Amino acid sequence: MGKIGEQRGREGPPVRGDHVALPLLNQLPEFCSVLLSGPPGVGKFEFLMEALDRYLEDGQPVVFVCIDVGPGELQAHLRRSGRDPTLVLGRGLSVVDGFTAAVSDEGIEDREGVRVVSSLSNLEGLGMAITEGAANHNRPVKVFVYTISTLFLHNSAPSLSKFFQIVSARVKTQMGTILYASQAGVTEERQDNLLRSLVDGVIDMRFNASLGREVMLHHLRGYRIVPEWIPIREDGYRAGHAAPATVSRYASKGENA
Amino acid sequence: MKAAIGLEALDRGLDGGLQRPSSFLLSSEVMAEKRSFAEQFIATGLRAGETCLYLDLYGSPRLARHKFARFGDLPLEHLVVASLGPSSDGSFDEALSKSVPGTAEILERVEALLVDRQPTRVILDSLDLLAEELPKPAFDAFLRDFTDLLKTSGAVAGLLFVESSYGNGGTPEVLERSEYRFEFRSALREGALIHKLRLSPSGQNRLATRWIPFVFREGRGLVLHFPRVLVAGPSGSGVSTVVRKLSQSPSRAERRQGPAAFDYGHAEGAGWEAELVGTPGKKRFAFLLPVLMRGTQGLLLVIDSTRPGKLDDTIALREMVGKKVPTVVVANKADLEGAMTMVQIREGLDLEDEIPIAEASASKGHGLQEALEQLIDVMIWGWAAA
Repeated sequence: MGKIGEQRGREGPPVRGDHVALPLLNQLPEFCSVLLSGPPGVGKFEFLMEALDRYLEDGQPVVFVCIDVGPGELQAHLRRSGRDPTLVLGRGLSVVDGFTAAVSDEGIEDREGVRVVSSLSNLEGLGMAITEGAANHNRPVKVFVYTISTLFLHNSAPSLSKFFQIVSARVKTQMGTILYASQAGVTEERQDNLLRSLVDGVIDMRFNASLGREVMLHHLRGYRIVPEWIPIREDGYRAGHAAPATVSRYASKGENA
Repeated sequence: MKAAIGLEALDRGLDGGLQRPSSFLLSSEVMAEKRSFAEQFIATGLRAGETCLYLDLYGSPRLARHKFARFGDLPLEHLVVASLGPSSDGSFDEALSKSVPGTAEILERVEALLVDRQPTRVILDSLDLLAEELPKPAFDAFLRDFTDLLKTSGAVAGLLFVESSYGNGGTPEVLERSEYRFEFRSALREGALIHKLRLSPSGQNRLATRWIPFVFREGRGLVLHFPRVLVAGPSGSGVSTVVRKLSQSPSRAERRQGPAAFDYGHAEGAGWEAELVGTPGKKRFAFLLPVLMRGTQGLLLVIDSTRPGKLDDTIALREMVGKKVPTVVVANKADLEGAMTMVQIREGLDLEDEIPIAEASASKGHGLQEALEQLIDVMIWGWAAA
């Protein structure tokens, strides 16, 4: 994120957008499905990369589903954050590569920690690769999908919605947490609403009027949320904000009313 | 000659394999591991010197071809992998298309391949893409024409299909009429990925199997895998010896003297593997039984043929495991003087007629593999196999 901050001409030391993702994600239950929605360029990939770094540090396994980016980009990020990809792949991190076969016919063999899916239309292959990737690790596993929106270019909306529902249900009952990044505003509103209704929670990201970036935990099934837009600064959240949103488990049924 | 699938326990029940010509459906309600089965069918054909055609609707023949390397050495020159979907560049084996073609075009291309290459085995992977792109009547019509075309060619064709891709689920009528139907399920259970398949009645075929777990073994291919086969019997019946003799790599939880808990072994046969768990005969370990019995798929019930007095214990044990669990009785020490006859054992255990009794001598290793093979058949085909 520091790099992007520099490109935007902002002041301050380049940092990795610390404290953006984790305070939010730490409040999620270990088994759930979440949509990370925001317009292109708002920082969804950085959000996921920050979360990836922290999870790897904590020894929590991650399955990363590459749809818009190739595994190479992921490996470059790992190197930038001081990790040797060869030591991470297949150990803390498994990659499902739906990207490479879509752009190239070369070098598309499975390799250590990377499962290649033949095409982005091959939703069954994608789903099976996620399950296989998760089976390599101890539960709970974090599954990141970057991005679900691109799959709409390769699949019909009904069949992708079914895939989305089946994979979400599978992950949250058998594997752990799945986090889908979604490009806000590129799919029809009805479709967008359907995706939001099929997950347990939604994290929204947006640009404010001065092109600053903000993030909010919009809702989370079974939890009471006090949604609040939290400005993201390169040096983290604004002073005084220990947690970006308030989440509390229903103390009793009546409290929901 | 029939077209063997390459899973011998299944092929045996099908009198050698699938009839020619015919079509078989590989279906699942939602995503499941069907492709390995399709690849196994092709790999078996290649090993037999047949020409095989793998039709890929997802447009990555190179990846599809690469997957066959997992089966060990195969004569890949007899394998034709053709893309029917959009391709990303011109380097595909059969650069058939640059965009998703219409059904008429697909049929024309398939017909040309059938005439040109004359394959005896064909896989269409996967129908989901067409099912979601085409209106139902057009999809049904395509399937009718496609299966007719393949039958005319004399080939055996497998079609991969996810039911949730078809309208509101379910299976098109033409697929219901496939000569064979294999259903698949995949799920994570306690951190392990479990795949299962079963043969269901379809078309003229009335044969059916139980759900059978399977795994993929690098270099070998698909293997039926039974993660828990219980070997149980009263104290002194020879359970530990049976497990040891059947196992490739037996191990035993031991204390300084005598058995500590239970025996474990890994047994293999043609196209199958089984993990054997020998239950303790000693009463002080009885608390372990419910744990060991959890998820049992089959039971080798071991008796000492020379000790009729122990049969009541055996009956109690069987009732504990459950009478519905596929069972074969191993009449151990059948070679010794004073051993009960099969009739006496059946009466003494109050056994149903369909439950097989296998005469054996665990110490000499006689009759044990046959008994386990018989149990494998019952675990696959149900009591009808007995």
